[in-house]
Amino acid sequence: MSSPPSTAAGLGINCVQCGGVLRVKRDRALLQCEYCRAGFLQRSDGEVDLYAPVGPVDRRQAARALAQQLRLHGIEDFAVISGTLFHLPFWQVNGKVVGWQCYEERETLERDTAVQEHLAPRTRSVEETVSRDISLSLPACDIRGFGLVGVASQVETLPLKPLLVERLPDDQRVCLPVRTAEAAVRAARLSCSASMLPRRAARVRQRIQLIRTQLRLIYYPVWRLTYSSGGAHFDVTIDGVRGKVLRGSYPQRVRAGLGGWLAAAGLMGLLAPLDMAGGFAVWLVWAMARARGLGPPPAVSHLPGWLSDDLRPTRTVVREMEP
Amino acid sequence: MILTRLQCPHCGEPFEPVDDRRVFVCDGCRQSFSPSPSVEGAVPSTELVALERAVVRPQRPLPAEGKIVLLPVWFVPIRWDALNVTVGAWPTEVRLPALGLARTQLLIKFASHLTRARGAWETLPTSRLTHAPAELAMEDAFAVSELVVFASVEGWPRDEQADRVEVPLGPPRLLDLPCQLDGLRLTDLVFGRSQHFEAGDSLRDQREEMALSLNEIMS
Repeated sequence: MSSPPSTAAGLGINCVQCGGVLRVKRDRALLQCEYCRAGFLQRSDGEVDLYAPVGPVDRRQAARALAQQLRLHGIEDFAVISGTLFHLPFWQVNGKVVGWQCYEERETLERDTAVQEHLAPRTRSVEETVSRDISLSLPACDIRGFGLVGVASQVETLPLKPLLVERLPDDQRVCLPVRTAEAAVRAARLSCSASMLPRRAARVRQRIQLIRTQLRLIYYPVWRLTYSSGGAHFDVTIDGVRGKVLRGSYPQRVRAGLGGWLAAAGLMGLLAPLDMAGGFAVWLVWAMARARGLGPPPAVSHLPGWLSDDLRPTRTVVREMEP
Repeated sequence: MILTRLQCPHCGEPFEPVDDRRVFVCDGCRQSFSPSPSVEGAVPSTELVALERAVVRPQRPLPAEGKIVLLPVWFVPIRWDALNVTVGAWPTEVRLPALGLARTQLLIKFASHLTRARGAWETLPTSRLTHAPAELAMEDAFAVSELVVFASVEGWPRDEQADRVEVPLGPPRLLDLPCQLDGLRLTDLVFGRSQHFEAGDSLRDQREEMALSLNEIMS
């Protein structure tokens, strides 16, 4: 009796016998049905499997995270104009590194450095076998604009599900991987080769084998929101799993120094003798324009105060958010 | 992704998915099965394929102490003639235990000991012994065997060859090496090599079956 051929691509990762959920064992290639206890071995068919974390935050939760962050900077008045959920690809390479290496290691001498300078450094030859389990995640496209550094720690603990690109809503964007699968494995191998050696190793001979390699693409969700505050627009990116602000900017009101005061006074002082009415009009337009960009429009009641605190000259600087 | 159901392709007996295990032994028909080796550019089969196994004949009398167990070992011939190197007394085959992947360095050390051991061997013509499940599949054995060669042959490869030389390996064969297991000390009864080895529960005592098999051959 033989089992029918089965592929996980069309079925997700459900048991082909009873439809139960298949749980991945410590050995990631082995799966076991939590209901009928049937065991399965997963292998690559040459196609790369796409996965995404289960249950990314929705737009409302993302906006809430933004509001929380803006509140920390004293900004209460803002409106989210648009939001797009991006799925950023990361290669995840799992496997076991086994290697043989031979190198010369410079010994650390605890003697007087003045004496040591005149001595040739002592080296010892080392020949050893090395092994390590690896789980690396590497960005598959340029993600610098999103403020995401890596997802290794997240994807290790997050429940994942197969990503079906054709079923995503129109307002979501899937970024195409630029780094190829071969390049990802090569990068993983290089990274392992380097990490197996001590810092002072020289004349290295090394053979590294990656066995039981599993390669998959993890699409990590990141929200990009555009919001307006005080008449200006700002972009912010929010981690679609943890709901934390990754990167963004916000307006900050900065009080002008003495220069601002003098400039305003000078402007008024020059214009006033020439045309008192015109000077007042220029000042009024300037003050209203500044006020509209930075806070509540100046109330008429503020005008008698003339150069009151509310109308004090200000400038806007855009600050980077610190998540 | 392809899912291979872990069950005997002959009698349908389910196999327990034990971490790291890649060679499964059917309790019903006593045959061994493993995933088919991957071939670049080809979709692997979803079926497990049968493995031919045999037991190596002990060259020493069965010791009175300890258990007599069968250690699955990949025997991989090295085709030195393809490299045009003078081999001298270099080993002609890699003997790689197919268990102990969790402690790979110890595994390679053990493999290196076994590989360096001299001595002819032959398989038992018939066997009433039970093969043990194993961890290393054929493609794992190929990858690790290359490292065992490097670790076993002194002075080769030379500096300029180390990065590019490929060890020409022949078709691997999974055989069972009779061993004495005394506590955590495993001593093989063919080459006489001894090693600290944590076999877990996968190796069972087969003293009686081994004695019977040897008696049958003698008679």
